[in-house]
Amino acid sequence: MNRIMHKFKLGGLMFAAFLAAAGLAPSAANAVVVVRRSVNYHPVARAAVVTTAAVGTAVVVGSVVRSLPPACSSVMVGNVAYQQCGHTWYQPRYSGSEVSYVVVSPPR
Amino acid sequence: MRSSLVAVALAAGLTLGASSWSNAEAKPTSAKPAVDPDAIAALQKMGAFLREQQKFSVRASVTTDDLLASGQKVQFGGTIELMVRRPDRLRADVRGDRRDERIYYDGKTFTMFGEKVGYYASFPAPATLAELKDVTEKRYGIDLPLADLFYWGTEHDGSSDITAATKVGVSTIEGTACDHYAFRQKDVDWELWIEQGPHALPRKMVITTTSEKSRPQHGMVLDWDLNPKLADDLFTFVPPAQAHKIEFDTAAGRSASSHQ
Repeated sequence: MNRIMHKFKLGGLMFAAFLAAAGLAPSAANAVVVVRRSVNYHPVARAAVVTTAAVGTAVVVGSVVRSLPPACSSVMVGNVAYQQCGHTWYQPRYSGSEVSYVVVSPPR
Repeated sequence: MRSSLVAVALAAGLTLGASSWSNAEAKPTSAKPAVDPDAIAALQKMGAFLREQQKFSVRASVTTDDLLASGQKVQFGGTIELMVRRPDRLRADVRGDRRDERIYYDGKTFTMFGEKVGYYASFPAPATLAELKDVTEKRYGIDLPLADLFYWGTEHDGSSDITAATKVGVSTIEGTACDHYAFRQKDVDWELWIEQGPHALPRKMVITTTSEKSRPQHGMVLDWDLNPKLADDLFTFVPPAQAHKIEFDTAAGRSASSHQ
């Protein structure tokens, strides 16, 4: 699994130039270096900065990761989808057009 | 003696050559501004033509440079299939090395579905595509694929950001004769190949990020169908049995959570 440094503001992004032209793209000032698992067809620097989940480190409730550590299982509690990775529980959600995972308190 | 004559002749020839070159170059550059109005007009004509289309499908073959942590540039690929029926239907399938999304919009509900992860999320959608775009971008941080191509020639096109625009020449893209244009703006150089004749379709595009040392590029070749058969059920999401519903993080929610 490669960790990709997504270091450029617009290049990875479909029609970034159009966006920039349309005033929709992030300005250079808020472009940030983010570790990303996937690239949008669109500028993304405005998305929250998220990182791949570190393995073997304590994960703070409320933190957000773009990908899960290995060996997780999909669990439904009530009507809600979770990913349980050892003692850490994640709730998937769509952030823009990508799924990210929020660390939550164990639901059971 | 002979050799010095040759040298003189060569020098004269070179001088003549150089001066004719500089003349040839000087004329157009002095006559034309950096932003050639004809190149901007071509963008606007393309935008107007795209907005005229009541239904279409387009398949984009996309390549994207990215950087490994070492700084080495690598290329990823994928496809986008976009199907649109105005005023209230849109479907997009995005597949790639690192992408997997389906977007469904049927005038009532907007759904994003990731087939590989098996998650989908929906929200009640506004009644038209024009309104939808605003909601997806501002509230949910979702950019509809290729949407920005359709701006040119409207007040949102931002053509004032373009610092240089010129026609490079003529080029054939997948068998279609195109005019090749090059544009510059802050941090970005971009090129566009627009079909010649009455169907002013974008056939190819390359974006180069000039503010990065590695100058990563993003490119696509576009294959259009202006008379597709688009049945209603293409646009309505029916969740597969194994798919789980999750929620969208709204833009406000996202920025709040990143500060926790």
